[in-house]
Amino acid sequence: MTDTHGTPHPDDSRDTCGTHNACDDTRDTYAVIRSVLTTTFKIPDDEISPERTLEQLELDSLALAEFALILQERLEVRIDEEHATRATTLAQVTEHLDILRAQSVTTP
Amino acid sequence: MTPRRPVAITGLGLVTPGGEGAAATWDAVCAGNGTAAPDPVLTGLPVDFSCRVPLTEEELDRRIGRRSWRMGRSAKLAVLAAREAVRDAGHRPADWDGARVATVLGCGMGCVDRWEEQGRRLAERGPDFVSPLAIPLVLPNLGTGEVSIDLGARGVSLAPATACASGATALALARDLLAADLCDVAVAGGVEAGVSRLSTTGFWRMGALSERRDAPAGASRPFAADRDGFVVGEGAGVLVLERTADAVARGKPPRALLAGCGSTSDAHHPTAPAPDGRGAEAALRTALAEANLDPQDVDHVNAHGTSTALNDATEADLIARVLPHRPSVTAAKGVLGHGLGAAGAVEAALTVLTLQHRRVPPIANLEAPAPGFDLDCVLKEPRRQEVRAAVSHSFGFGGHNVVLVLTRP
Repeated sequence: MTDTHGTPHPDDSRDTCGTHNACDDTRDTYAVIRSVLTTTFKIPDDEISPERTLEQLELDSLALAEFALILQERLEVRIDEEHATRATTLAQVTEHLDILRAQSVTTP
Repeated sequence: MTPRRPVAITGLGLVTPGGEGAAATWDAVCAGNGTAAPDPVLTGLPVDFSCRVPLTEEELDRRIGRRSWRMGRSAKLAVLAAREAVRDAGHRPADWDGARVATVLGCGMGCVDRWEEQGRRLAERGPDFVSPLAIPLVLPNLGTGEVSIDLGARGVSLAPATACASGATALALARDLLAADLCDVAVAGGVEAGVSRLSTTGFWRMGALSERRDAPAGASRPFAADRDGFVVGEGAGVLVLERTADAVARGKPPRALLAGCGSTSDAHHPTAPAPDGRGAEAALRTALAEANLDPQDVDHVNAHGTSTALNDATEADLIARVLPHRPSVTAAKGVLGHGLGAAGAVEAALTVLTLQHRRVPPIANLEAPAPGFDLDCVLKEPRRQEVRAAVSHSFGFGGHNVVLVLTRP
């Protein structure tokens, strides 16, 4: 079972709010981002495209912090604040996360 | 005590364990069947049942829309009930002067379930894994805050916390804001989504909860001889209040009038009612004086009726002493459980519907009032009654007593 952030939680046998970020395949970083945006932030799928900035998707500073936390849990890398600002595009977020993920694989 | 000018109640919105909407809740309360059921969230605990709003988080999110990601369950329930109440009142947020609209929603404790979840994250995984939403989720005023945002209501906004009387306190305060000309419309009531493993266990440790695990639907039985505690519930009740002249001027006949409010404190004990019921009696007498009514004018009592040994004994004694002419008595908590900070507003809304429909819902799970309770409790099925004036009682931990007098227009 998962807690609110869609992450397995050892001592928790329930999901308090039911917001599963259902995207089992985490190999495709952009697909994970898209899934978080539609599932947690209720952004319509047709608003989401690589060139859109986080601001254009109406993510405020509170939302950006929550977005970064969920991505960290899903992808096991931590995105810095400067790489997820309101002016950052989804393509840039994806690119940065891919770099971080590659590093985390090569440097155990 | 000088009589006060009544204010008009022009809209109702309810989201309760009885259903989504005022009509669904009214039907459920009139049917008189308890809604308590085993709660997966409480599995394994000494008390593992509750009364829940029959909407999943996903269903709530769909109704709320894009801002739902940041809201706890209580804010979502508040927004839905407020939208219904405003629609029912015939107001359009696009058209009104938002600066003159107050939002006053009582709440006991915020989203403690999500707070507990964040506490677990901190303990098990460290500070970096605590959500930035932790604080907005636990603040008890965020229901009011999200309602003001949703409606573009920019006037006074408050979340009075008087525990289980919060919803009634909110209505009394809203009346005062209108009387003081601090707003033209008040969107007022109460909200609570306080069912969690820790809160339920805490209430159980106080000895406040029914332990009827074998038959939860029959657990909440206000005024019964074999009552053994309340059942934790949740929900939101919102009423739209405005000055009667304003309602008349815009061609909106009030559903009912809020004719008097009495608010007192026991100054006795944090969680036990004063055994002599003096504080509650003072609240009742103040509310009646404000409404310019005598005790014998009260046709009906919507009791606080929690189904705890102490509350119901004290309240039965109060009713029999101050209102010895035996007005009809109902207690919605038999069906809905105890909505804590929402209860006072939900019950005020149900009292409005009793006035309008000339119908008093029965007390669920009650065969007869406990021996010694000299009350005319409505049993088994709704009773048709011409109710002209009714009182709604709310009492909260902290020694808060709030009585509202509601009358037909």
